[in-house]
Amino acid sequence: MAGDDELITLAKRGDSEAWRALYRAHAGRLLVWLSTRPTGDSSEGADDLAAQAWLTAAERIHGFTGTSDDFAGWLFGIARNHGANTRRRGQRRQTHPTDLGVADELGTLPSVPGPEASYAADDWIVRALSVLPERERDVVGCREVVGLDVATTAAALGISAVAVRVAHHRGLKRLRSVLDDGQAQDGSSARSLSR
Amino acid sequence: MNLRTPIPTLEPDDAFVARLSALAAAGAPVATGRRSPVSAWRVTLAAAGVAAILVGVAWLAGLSPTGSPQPAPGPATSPPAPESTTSSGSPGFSNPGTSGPGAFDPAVPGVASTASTQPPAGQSSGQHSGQHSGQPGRHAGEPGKGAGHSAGATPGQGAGNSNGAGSTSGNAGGNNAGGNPDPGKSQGKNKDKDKDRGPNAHAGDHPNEHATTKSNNGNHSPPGPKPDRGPRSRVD
Repeated sequence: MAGDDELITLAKRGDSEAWRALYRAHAGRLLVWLSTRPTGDSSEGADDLAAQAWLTAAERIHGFTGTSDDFAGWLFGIARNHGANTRRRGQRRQTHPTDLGVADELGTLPSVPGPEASYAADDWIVRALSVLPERERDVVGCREVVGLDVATTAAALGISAVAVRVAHHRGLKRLRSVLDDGQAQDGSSARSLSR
Repeated sequence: MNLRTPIPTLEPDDAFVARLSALAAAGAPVATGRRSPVSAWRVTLAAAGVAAILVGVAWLAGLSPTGSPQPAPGPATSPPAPESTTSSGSPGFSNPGTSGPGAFDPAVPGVASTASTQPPAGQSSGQHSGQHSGQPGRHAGEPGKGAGHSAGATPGQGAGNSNGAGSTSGNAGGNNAGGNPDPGKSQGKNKDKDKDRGPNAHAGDHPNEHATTKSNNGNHSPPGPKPDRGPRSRVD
């Protein structure tokens, strides 16, 4: 791995502008990638995981060596670990979303607009990736949805580049077959309706 | 099928960026400078304390065997240390320093293992040696016993060999001294000779102790000074 570039060096010193630049470069991709993965806990969303990942990255930045591009894989790996912890914690203590409409009627909880509307456009991607196994979903999410390269994806997921390529290939093949089956079913149902 | 999603450019909150910067600055490795004098004094004090404890333990360990003789755990196998020391210096013993540890200490592996693995004669001899090795008066006062049992051994030689071996007073001829503690059987019999020719576990370990009476080995001290050495070793 190459040495630190200037941006990482400044970030290690605590320079706020360097952190701002890093955030601009990677926060959007991280949030989109996390939104394609189930958190396992309905009380924590992708925003929460992303914020935790950034804070952890700021604490551990001195143990990181690499360029700004390498920082993306390292940051995604931290977020993946946080997601795994959240999933395990959610399995231990099940939390279920409360019907806010009933709560509003009771007047106990205020109504807060959520970010669901902004994610509605990407909802079909989440549904499409949900049919894949976990590794293939993560790889396809990193490679196709976010656009990371193989090396960064391998660093983010903690697997080798060969495993990334294999999982990417299998995931796309499986996704294609599922979508074709879905289109065939939709076509048959449309034909039956037209009759 | 295009899964690529347009990546939004998110602008961070100032407070969040300030927190990230603070965390990164707080985690910066501090340059390791020279140790403070207080910590150096602590290290020195700890080292001195450990050294003092070690010296005290060593002093107590060295004091315990000489200052207060410990009671024998078993009457048959462990004689009191001072008596054994006295017996090792009985008449005819030329080198008390060589035979001292192997002569009286029942905890010596060679003696203990011999006593435990030997035939009944060996077992009895082990106990016998343990009991009688610390009785100088008996050894000195029964020279005729050893002389009579050993082939051609003089009384002085018999007594000296047995004492040097640390086995018993009946170790005739000194052939069994230390190596084959079979004094009981050897008394009044010539089995002693045959046993001595067999494999001796301690052969060569204590040359002074394995001197035969026939060869009148030079390891023996001359008969003349024997009476003088007895009292000297008793003093030891």
